[in-house]
Amino acid sequence: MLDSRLKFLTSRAEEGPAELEGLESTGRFALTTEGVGTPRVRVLLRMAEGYGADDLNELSRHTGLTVLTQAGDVIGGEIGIDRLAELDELEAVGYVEASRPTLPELDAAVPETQADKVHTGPPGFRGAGVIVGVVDSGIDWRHACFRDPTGKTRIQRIWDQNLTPEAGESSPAPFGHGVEYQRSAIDNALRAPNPLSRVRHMDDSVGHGTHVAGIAAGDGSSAGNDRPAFTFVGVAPEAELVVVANRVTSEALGDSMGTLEAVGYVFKVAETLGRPAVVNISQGDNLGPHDGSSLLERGIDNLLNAPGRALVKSAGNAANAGVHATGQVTEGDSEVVQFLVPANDSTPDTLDIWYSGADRLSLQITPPSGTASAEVAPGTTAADLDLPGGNKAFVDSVVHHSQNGDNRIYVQLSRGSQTAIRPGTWSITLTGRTVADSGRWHAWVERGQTVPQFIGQHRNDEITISVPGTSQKVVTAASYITKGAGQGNLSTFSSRGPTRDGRTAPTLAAPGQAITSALAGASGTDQYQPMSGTSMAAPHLTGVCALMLQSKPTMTQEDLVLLLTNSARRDPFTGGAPGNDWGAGKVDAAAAVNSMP
Amino acid sequence: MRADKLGSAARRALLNVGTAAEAAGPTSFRVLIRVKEEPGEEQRRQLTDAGAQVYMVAGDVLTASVAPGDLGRLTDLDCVDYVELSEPLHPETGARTQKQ
Repeated sequence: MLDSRLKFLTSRAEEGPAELEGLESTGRFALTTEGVGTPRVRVLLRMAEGYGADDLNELSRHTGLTVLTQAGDVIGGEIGIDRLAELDELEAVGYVEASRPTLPELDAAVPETQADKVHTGPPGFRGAGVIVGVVDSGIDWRHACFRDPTGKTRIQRIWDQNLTPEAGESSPAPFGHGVEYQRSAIDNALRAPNPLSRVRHMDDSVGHGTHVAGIAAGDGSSAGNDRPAFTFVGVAPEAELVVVANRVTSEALGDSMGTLEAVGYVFKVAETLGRPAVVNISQGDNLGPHDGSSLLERGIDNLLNAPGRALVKSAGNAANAGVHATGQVTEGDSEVVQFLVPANDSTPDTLDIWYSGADRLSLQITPPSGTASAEVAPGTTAADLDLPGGNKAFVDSVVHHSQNGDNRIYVQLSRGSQTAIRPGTWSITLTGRTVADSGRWHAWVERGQTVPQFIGQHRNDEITISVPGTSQKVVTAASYITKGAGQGNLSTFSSRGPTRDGRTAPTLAAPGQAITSALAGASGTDQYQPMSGTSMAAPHLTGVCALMLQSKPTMTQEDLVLLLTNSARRDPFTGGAPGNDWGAGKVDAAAAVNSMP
Repeated sequence: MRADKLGSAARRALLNVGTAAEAAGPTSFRVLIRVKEEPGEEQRRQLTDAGAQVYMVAGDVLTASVAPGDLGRLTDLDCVDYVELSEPLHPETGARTQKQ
């Protein structure tokens, strides 16, 4: 279905190119008419239920849609205006709306959080003396937003876990890998004719980490994007940064070990400097018990055991993404859980199923149009399960898992003798051998470039907060819309709670959609770029925590959570009571700081 | 080998090593280890003797690298409760491209 704005543009297109050129010149329509054969329009598209990344590739080929960004089931792209009707007719497409030109966003998002009121005070707090740790893809340390008024960097340390030390470089103790750059080295590099020969670290081409750092602690001192300097001011613009660049691959942004080490590193540097610190993690994974007992979560909780330490994690963009399924099986009966495997899926796919330690469930796997595999009994491991059609599975059914006492069935599908995992509708059959508790089970699918998604009656958007966001202690950030269509609403992609053990989650919400912040590789007037996701919501809360820690450096994570949730705003969008979509509500930095004892 | 102390992904990875060992040679696993309590000097020595190179201690959770062939000795230690393979994480924003 096309929205009214697109229908309007389609009708105007029939009047000829001059009509659309006139509309483009108003700046109110996301049109491109110059240098293209057919005028193009930027759109936001929601995939229909049951369709995913592979369908998007096909859709793109079929309609000429250029995909520019993706957040869960929402795609941002550009398409010829003459192809809109074709796009609208595809079953894979749920809804298409015209992208609406919006005002650049960090300048709007910061007032939305009331952080600008904290900046001015009195007394004013801008994050001075607080360390903001960014564990991410890295940072473009040359960007003027990360310098102080004298031109010196506000980055205390960079630890690039990807690099191997060369002459004059070293790894941070005790980690023994990667390269650490200190503030003085960064300042020297900034004065050098070839800065990147002095500090070899650079954010990747996407610039996720630079963007996140800009939201939390950029000072907006670069003029750019047709805006004067100090338009895009971050939430804690005088905080100092410690940045850890995770190991980046085409499939992932870091891993659990490197991330735990990164958090420990930030707190260690902050301790050395005698500063409080708040760490931002805008990455996660779907696998795990979702009850806080994964070792990454337990390790993070252990590190948050001292005053002046805080950590914020993005909730995830997994609502409407088919990553979770749940159901209830009775003794002697079975449930058939369906999932869709896309074409050309050659990497192993992992499904992670958790259920009560008092129950015993067996599992069978059925490929598309195939027969069921042999049954895997509770407490047994099938290391090389043959599946009809030539694919294989590793199934590890664990009873009384040592970390939480629950039961787990870990399923990894692989291509076996075939070139790929067979595309189409697969199913797993869970049979209640003993049901002494509720028979409730939960399943998640691992993330990746080409991965399955659950379909059918068991698909469920709750309990989609990514690990380590289900930790007992971390602040978990949901995303809401602050400009354009749906203003005030929760982002459709924002992962929902509760945790599997029934705790309310996420913690609270912050702006996360179409947020404009620092651009990696900035040059000339191009200094900022927009991005969307709970990745962008988290650094808003990280910045707010930095303001609170400036006010009282001995605050604990528990203190911060209590103040943030008690001071959160509720409105007609959030509803009157805390819940598992918004958490406590919308962040209110001024109310949080003002309520501090 | 106390296989009950190994996470599922680690068990799976061990199988892969078993089939690829002759071609690829020994590799090391990046792991998270849960121990009974924050380790003292004696426990650290035991972990090292079992082949684990420990990088960081976060209370009762440690980060380490260990050769596949040493996982058996590691899980046999009384102080070790659980060993989990380090798992990939993913950015929580839109599309992403490979590092240049």
